[in-house]
Amino acid sequence: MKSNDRSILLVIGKALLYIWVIFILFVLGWIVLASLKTNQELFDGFWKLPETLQWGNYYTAWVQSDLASYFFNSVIVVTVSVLGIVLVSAPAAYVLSRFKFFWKEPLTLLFVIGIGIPYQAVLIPIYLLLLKTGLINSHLGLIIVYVALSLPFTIFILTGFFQTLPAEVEEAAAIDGASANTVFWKVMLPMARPGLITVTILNAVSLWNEFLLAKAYINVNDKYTLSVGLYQFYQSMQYNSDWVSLFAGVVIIIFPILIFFLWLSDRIIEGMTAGSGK
Amino acid sequence: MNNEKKKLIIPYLIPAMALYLVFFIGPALYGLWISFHDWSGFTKDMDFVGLKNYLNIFEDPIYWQSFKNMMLILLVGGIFVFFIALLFTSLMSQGVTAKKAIRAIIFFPNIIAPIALAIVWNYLYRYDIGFFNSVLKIVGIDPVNWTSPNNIMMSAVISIVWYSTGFYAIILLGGVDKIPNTYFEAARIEGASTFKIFTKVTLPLIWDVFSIAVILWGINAIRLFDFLFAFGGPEPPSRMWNTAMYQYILGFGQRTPIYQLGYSSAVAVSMVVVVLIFVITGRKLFKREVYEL
Repeated sequence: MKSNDRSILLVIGKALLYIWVIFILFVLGWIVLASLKTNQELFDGFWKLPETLQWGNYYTAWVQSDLASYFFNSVIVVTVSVLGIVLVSAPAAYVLSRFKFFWKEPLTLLFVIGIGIPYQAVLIPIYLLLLKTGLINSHLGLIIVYVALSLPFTIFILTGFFQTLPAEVEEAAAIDGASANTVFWKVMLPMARPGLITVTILNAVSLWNEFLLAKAYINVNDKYTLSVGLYQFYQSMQYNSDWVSLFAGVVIIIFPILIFFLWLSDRIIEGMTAGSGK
Repeated sequence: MNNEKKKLIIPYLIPAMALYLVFFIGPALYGLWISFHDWSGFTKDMDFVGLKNYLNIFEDPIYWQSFKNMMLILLVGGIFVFFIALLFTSLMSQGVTAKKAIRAIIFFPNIIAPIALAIVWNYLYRYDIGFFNSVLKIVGIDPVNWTSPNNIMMSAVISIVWYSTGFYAIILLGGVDKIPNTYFEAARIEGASTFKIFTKVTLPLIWDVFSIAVILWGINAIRLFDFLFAFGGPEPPSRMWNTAMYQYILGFGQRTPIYQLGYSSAVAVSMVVVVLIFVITGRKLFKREVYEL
């Protein structure tokens, strides 16, 4: 749908949009290039191109600077957390959206409020709790925290989704003799697949990038998640100026998300906008 | 609702409720309790001091500096984010080539790990070999010290606006896409200019999506930590701390542990209050008749 007028605002606006897009692509491209330079080339100037591609930087980042371990730590933590989040949230959202009981509204409200509470409010108390239960510096502890803190948003999204499912299918299955459990796990849950995929993606991405909690609750080097590991690598730039390997590390942390995104960007974007319609 | 179904309620809710109460609500209340005490966390001694921590907040210049930075991100950042987001949204909805690709590209920075963004932007801002100064040099302007103590906060806000805008543009676009084309057609037939179409058609019809987007921004801007903390380098100067950073540093320290847990908890509570005020004000400001599509 084209616009009527050729107002100057439109031209400037479109130019800004294109510049914005180009700049984003430029920055991404530059990061990759920087990761393939030598440190000398990097310091020779911003625009200098690498003479040969220094894939060795990735070796340095991955093996020598331990990003491989941190990478796998993140994979484990994120995978288990997301599984946990969905397994815990889906039944709860199902009940909250389609059942009637007198404490439904207050409970729903209680979960929704959690969306607005900043992590700062629970950062230290949870730290103390983890200390007391021996879960500090452990992946299990971090996973439990990730699951608990992701519940408000996930339940919010999923209740919205479950509400849209037709009651007839539910009733038909019950009439056919299916137990209430079967109705949920075998009928309703599969129907909610789009919603489940959405929350899986949203949680996976945000937990992969998560930094504050991972840094606060895990202080043992070999247990670091990738974002914390990369931060520590960055800190070490004070003593060891291997910036090109640091940029390789940056590419490593971005890469899975980029792949994920290229594959699923439509799905991700639709998931976000569907949620905002509520 | 039959009895069969009723039996599901408790078992299906228990895991979520248990986790939520034990690891979220419980700690939040405990944090509130701690905020009324003086506590270094090392000893068992928690001295009840009532509202002392809160009174100290009022007199704490570092707190108010951090508060100012938080507001800088929230309000100045927010205005730029939504100005640009609305601009992009209206442009994309009115027809632009490769809309889907553009949509994906502007969204992408928002899902890059903040630590990665901080490393990259710190480099882009470098005085000697950074991107911005090299461009300024080409144009013949003097280089700027983007990460000087005076400038670093504004530089951070620019980066934050950069990586956030796309996200909110997409949310708004989701709202605009729901408007049937007929509305725009009718307006065009009436001879409305692009600007008029935007203010009289688009904006009112996405008002509820707009308000949700702004609230979401508020929540995220107030609690923003990851990017700013990493952006500040090895030992971020207190000049650039936002309240979230101050709260963290009070509890976990930078180089030297401070461990003022009581005070840190009070600062955290103050942040919850700010969120509350923002959400309530936001809802009031956005309240108006919702036009049904």
